[in-house]
Amino acid sequence: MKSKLSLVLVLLMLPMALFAAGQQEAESGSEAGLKKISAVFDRILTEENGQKEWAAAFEELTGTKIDIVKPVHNQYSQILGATFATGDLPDLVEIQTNDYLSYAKSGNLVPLEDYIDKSTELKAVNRDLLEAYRLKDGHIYGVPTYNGGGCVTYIRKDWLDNLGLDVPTTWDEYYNVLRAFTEDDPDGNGVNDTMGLTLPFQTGFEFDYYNRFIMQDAMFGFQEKNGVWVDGFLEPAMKTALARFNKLYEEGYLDNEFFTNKTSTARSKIYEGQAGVMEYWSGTWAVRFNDSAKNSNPGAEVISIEPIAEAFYINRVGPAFSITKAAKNPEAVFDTFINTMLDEGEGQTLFTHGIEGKHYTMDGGKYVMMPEPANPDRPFDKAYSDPTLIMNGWEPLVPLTDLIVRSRTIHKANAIQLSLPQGGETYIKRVGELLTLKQEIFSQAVTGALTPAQAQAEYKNKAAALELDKVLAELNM
Amino acid sequence: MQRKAAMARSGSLNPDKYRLWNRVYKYRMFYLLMLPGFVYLVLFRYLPMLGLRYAFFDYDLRGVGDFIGFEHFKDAFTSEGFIRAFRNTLILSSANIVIQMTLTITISLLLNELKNQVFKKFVQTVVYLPHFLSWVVVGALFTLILSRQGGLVNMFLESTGQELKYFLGDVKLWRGTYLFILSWREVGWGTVIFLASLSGIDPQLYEAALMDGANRWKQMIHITIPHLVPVIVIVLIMNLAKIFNLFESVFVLYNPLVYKVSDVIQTYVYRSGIAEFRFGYATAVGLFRSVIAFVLVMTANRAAKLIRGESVL
Repeated sequence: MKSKLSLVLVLLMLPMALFAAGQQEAESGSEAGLKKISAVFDRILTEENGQKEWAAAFEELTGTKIDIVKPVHNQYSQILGATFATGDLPDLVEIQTNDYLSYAKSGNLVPLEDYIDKSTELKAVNRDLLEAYRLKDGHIYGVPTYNGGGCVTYIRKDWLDNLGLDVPTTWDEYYNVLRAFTEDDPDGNGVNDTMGLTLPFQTGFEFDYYNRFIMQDAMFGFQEKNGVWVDGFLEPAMKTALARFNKLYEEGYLDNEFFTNKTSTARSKIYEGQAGVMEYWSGTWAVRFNDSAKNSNPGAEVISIEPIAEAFYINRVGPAFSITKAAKNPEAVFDTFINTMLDEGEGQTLFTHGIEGKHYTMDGGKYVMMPEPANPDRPFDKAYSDPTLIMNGWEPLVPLTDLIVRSRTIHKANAIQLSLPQGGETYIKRVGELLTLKQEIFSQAVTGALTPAQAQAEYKNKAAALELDKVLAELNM
Repeated sequence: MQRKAAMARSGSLNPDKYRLWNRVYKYRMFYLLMLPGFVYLVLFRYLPMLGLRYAFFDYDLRGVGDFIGFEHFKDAFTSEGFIRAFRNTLILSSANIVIQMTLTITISLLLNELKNQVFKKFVQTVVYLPHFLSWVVVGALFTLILSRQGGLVNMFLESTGQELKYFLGDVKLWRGTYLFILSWREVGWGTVIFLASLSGIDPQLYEAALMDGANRWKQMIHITIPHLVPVIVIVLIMNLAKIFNLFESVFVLYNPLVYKVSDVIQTYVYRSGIAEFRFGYATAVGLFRSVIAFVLVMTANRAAKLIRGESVL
């Protein structure tokens, strides 16, 4: 009986002892420097591609262990939201652009402006890029994961050459190229099997990153115009943009299935020579478009082009790194992680290219990225930070290809910086429904079920019931 | 009775309790076997129900806020989007139950009539297979098959001189197309229960019917179908419980051109609640769905009792 009682006591004491030990470790950690960071990341390497090795290299470099959770990309937003909802906060999180406002206003994030000001590493980063994350309350709750970047237009150069056409520089020339790609057999196979422009239907506010040649100065989402926030869908520019969409759709120059296109479907249409133009992300995609098109047809050539005279590209506010209130020593987290990421040395190399011998290697005196274990036909393009979107002017070890440099240069020279709409309670409550309403009315205008004027009138009418006025008032507060 | 009274007088254990404990002890191994299932049920089915209280609270990324009563429900019922989604859910789910049950029963009866066992197993396997494809794959597959740009169906229409159709982008065609795809994926799987039930029918009944001169049609009408009725009622009630559970299938097949006829409660909540981290609102709509499903199940159960004299639940 006595021995049984002892056993029960030991079993009862064991978890308490373990808990106490854990507490002690955590406390000593906070006193003697940062022992561990718990993090939830989106775009970091997958385990198959060496995430654990990357974390070990980070620990070796900084002396701080990092526990990484990486939810699947297409459910990242929901999983991170659920993590916060349960109150189980990590120290450090990557927050997607569209979610930043909700998290920043949630009271769960630590203001970072003091750490930013103290950081010597961040001095080299364009201040406007950092200021894009400042809320109306005066605090900055996130540091960009990279320079936002954006989309450029890719075009089948070989099709232009086949038809004796130049790269379009105006809307009329662009329209003529789309017409010719659709009607004049640009691939010369004698079959009417091509179309001018393909695109995926973007269901979020990403819509404005794309379709710039048709949208021109119109914006689908909320936009800041002369210092005042307005709903882009109700602006005069949107009326003419809708008319252009409708014209291209009805004439068959725009992919007639773009409402059901996923981004992968639209990209395949470029690769396989079904469509000649698509707007997509600048950077590594410039190589992928060209290489994949060449795989289908060795004579294919896909290039990025300057915007037409009437249009511009968009530089988005990129995803942010934020530190939560769960971090016992947020300044140490900032120093250890953010400053290492931008140290222009070993840290930035680790963040950008990964580990030598695992992610990159030396070949004939030059650094080259190694093939991904998950997809051996493809070399790694990054470990975490995109080498084509470096914020602090650091020169990556692995040189960028001409196609990447071209797309980035074109984008950088022609992009305007978007800012984050900062609404209040009503904005957060209504933004989803307003977006749905816009998408529906937009699709009706494109297919011709509504004229552009009717579309705007209908939106105005229905958006009023969704408190659009209050939403705009909050944005302009 | 005397023993009970004697035990009570002598101040010993409560006899009922004593007996209960004895029974538990006697069957302790059965209780032990049941324990994991019981723990699972409590942990993953009952405890999460405590979260239903969030339907009455302001709950978002800031955490659980003030108690706001029925505010979320008021928001939902006054939203045009929610009412439309509710209507679409009812239409699609009801049509789906009718179509799927009809097809499932028909296929089960036809399979049951097959005498060649090898062929029967082959057909069974073929009709089960689509169930194991994820909705993402099914969505991509049918988007390709139904495409106007070289899709199989439209190529056939073109070859017969008919106009090409945008099956997934036309409000007149979307619901029919969706219900077809849903049935294609699920009907085969649904036959499992019916085939199991059919195999349990006593063969002597068929032999006796044959002796009495009943042909196969008569055997089906007078033996097979009456035996299937209890299973049909159970399956119907189970399907009613899931009536509002349409999400993935719609999510991969809908688009803004057809929101009007395709947006269901789950997709609406995903866009306007979960995507904006309005957890309280999403819970309220979820609770409403469950209440309606519960009412439907109980009504069907009651109807079954009135018609058949016995209830299922």
